[in-house]
Amino acid sequence: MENLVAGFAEALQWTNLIACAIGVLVGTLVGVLPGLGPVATMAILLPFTFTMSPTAGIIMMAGVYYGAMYGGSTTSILFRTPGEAASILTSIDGYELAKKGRAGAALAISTIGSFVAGTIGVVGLMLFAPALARVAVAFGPGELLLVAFAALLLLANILGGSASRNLLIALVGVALGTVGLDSFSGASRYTFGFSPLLGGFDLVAAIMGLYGISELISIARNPHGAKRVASVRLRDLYPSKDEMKRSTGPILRGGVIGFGVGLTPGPAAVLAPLVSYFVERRLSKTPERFGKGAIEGVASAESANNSACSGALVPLLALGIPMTPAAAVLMSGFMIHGVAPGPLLMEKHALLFWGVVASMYIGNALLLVLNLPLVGVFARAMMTPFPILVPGIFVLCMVGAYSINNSIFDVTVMVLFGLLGDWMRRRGLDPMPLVLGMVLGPIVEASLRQSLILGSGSIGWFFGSNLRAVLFVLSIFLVLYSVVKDIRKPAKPAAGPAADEKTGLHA
Amino acid sequence: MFRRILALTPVLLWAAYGFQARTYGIGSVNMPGPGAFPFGLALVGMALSLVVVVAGRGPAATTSPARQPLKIDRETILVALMLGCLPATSLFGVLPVIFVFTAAAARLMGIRTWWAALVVAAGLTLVVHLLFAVWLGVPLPKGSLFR
Amino acid sequence: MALNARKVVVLVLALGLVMALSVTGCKREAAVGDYPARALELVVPYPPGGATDLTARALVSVLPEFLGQPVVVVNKAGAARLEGGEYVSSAAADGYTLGLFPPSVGWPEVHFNETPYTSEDLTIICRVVVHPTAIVVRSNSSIQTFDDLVARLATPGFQYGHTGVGANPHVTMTALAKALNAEVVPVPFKGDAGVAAALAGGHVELGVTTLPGILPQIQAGNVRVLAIYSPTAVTELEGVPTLGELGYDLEVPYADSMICGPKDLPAEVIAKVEEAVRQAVEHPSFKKIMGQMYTPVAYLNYADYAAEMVTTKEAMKQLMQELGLIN
Repeated sequence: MENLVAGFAEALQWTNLIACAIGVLVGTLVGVLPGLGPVATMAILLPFTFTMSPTAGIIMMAGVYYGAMYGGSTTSILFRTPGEAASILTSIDGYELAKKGRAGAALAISTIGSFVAGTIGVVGLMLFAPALARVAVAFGPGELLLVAFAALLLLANILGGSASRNLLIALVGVALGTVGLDSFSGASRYTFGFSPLLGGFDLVAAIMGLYGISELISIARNPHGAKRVASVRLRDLYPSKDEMKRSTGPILRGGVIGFGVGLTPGPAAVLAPLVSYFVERRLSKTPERFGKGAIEGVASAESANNSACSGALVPLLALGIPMTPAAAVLMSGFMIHGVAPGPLLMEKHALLFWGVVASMYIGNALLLVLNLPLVGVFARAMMTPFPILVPGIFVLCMVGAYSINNSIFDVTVMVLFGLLGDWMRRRGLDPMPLVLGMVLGPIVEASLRQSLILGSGSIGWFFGSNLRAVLFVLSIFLVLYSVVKDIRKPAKPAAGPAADEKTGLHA
Repeated sequence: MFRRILALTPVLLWAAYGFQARTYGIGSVNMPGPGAFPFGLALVGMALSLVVVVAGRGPAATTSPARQPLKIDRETILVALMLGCLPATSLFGVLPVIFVFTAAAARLMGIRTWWAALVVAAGLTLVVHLLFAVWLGVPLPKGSLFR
Repeated sequence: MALNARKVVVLVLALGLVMALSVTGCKREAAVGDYPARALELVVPYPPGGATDLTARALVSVLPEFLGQPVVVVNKAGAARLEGGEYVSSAAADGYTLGLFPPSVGWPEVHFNETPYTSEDLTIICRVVVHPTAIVVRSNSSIQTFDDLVARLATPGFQYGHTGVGANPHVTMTALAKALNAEVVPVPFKGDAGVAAALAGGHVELGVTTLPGILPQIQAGNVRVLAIYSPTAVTELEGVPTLGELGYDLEVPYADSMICGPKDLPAEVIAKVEEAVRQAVEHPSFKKIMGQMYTPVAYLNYADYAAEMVTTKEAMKQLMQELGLIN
């Protein structure tokens, strides 16, 4: 406790406070812009921290990291353009709300949710970091394989519509994920001599295409279908009492779920909002509203993705292992100041550690104060007429997709996935399983091959540890469950748009 | 009849995918090669597409009305403009492309006059330049004709 | 809005007109004599956050002092890192587009079968640093010294984790196993973070990885370094021998970071860059950052580096062929 007080004293020093403010401000801005994520921004800011004190430098970079999570929901809600995988679900319910004139409410709830969950995340980080870090690394190849595999099956089952059709779309995503250089053998697969394909399809570019670009095409086809309710009255900009009440539970639960899921290496940023969203749909008395503009959907997904971002910091701070690209950049911020993150951080650099933790409380509060007034501004941006909106969104997406790898190939990928997304949308297919396949596929493949090598190809290896054995039995059960369920259910031809499909709860 | 054959396309695509995977090498159980996973995936994919498509659970797709192919409508032009941006960016750099695209797309989406479209285009180009190049320091593509 | 053929034609014409105008409006400036006259780009073929990226950012923070112009880091990690190399190889040979490359991007033909460019399309100007490769075990392992490891490797089938197929740690361990006549089973993980996590979680006992990536684990005492592969010992790591000191002179190149430019660079540009980098690597602030990464500064000028590469490149090619990674 006295540590934390000392930390606050450190974080409240002028230079550190200013570093924190700059960090969260820049973070919010780049979070708003699709494609341009915290990774590139932290890298750009990195040289500026060379001349700062270690504490100020790390406070600033951490500020960019969690600040970006606040901004991330904005374009998803207003224009159905998620800037990263974590915001896909926000874009579904948030955009529906926005079309009904509740953009302000959705934005405000996602800001408040981010604040609460961000704070839950920091508390979790502060209290349990060392213990939880051990859980995170206990997830070896075998455990990861079973979790990713089970997640794929589970999601195909709960996404609504036919499980086998969802699974088939997911498999297409997995297949798309195998394109490029195989990191195990150095072989290039499905590139057919075309070298830009060696790196595979970038996930963020694909998501921006599937959701954002396909929406633009759909607006061009039928502008009247995308008409929005014009409402800029001040009291409509903020959530009503009822909306606040309905969001409280999802935000709190989402914060806890997100933090827990955030510890697992790899797909946490995508899985955390999904798990939280489906838990809420399960708990809800009116699950049919999910997917058609339920404020609980926005609240649960946004809060989970924010606390997952704190969860991902646990292995970095407690063990010095960066499990996400953003954590890797943050780690170089530590390294250039000669501070190695890890078990010794709290002992050797106690003031720095607690200063950074305290700054995260301060930064989250700053973000709340900064973002709530912005809600009004952003909600009005929603009313931009189509002749300006359509080129504007495309241009932002284009520059954003380019800046992922500074590559025009990623922009091409984005546009092509936009066409694919439009085609799927016209056929009433949900692109979500495709994205999940692309996220989970490479993890399943890599961990499967690692497991086979480590276990010398024997199934018995999966029973070598308790965690693996439990997960193994669980995934076998899931396979049987989904097969039996799909056979028993009478085949019914699916019709209607994707939005209607997603709301059906088949569990 | 034709519908039935068309419905088998996914199965054939999976077969092609699996066939290509075999050329990468399957390896052995304790040292799987690069082709092993895609090959297995193709087998599961084929089985699943058979279940989904042939068993009549296929997407409603096949019942949707056929669209007239050769009509130049607004969405086709927008898509063409988007695709045109890609080679144009490599050649001319991103800012001129943004300017032209915005003007054309604004006009396409119903802005009244070319003047208004050009004003919108100039404004957006300026914003992108200031925001990304000047302020955030993102190295925007310059285009091979200028390098 | 009704669309007819005329409007479409007008649209396309306008598009072409503006494009044409924008080309003629901007002429390429000549770059001779007073190089550098404007900012330079330093391409890094990795996403931000790794050892090479950090080296580049530390370098560009001091380079302007000696070049007189700012240098901007551009990350181009696409196409399995080759996009960065292709970008530099296709740039104008005026010295304003340079890259900081690992050997796999500097000489792609030694690492990949199909490459959009080869080392012939690049000018390799100088070497900046070497990122040491570390052979580490979990601290609770019974393997205490490198000799213990040699004894253990006598039993075939010993598993070790590395950072990715064809990357320096994998190739180094392969060459070492060959020198020891040992049969080892490589398990690829995703980068140095993957190896660090596998070691911390106890999923493998032995890891071969880059030294900067495992640094926090070393400092925390979670892992023990048995040996490093580097031209010089790392002063911060007391008592840890290099493989060379242990008597294993592997013919594998070190994990160099080299400055590259497009081919046919003018001699004065090469000289200017070479000299600026030579001074920059001696800068205290650059040396401090490299020291914190346990990365020895290993500057080699154009001529010396070219001489060294003649042998290492050939040896590497042979190893990659033996591994079956290239034809």
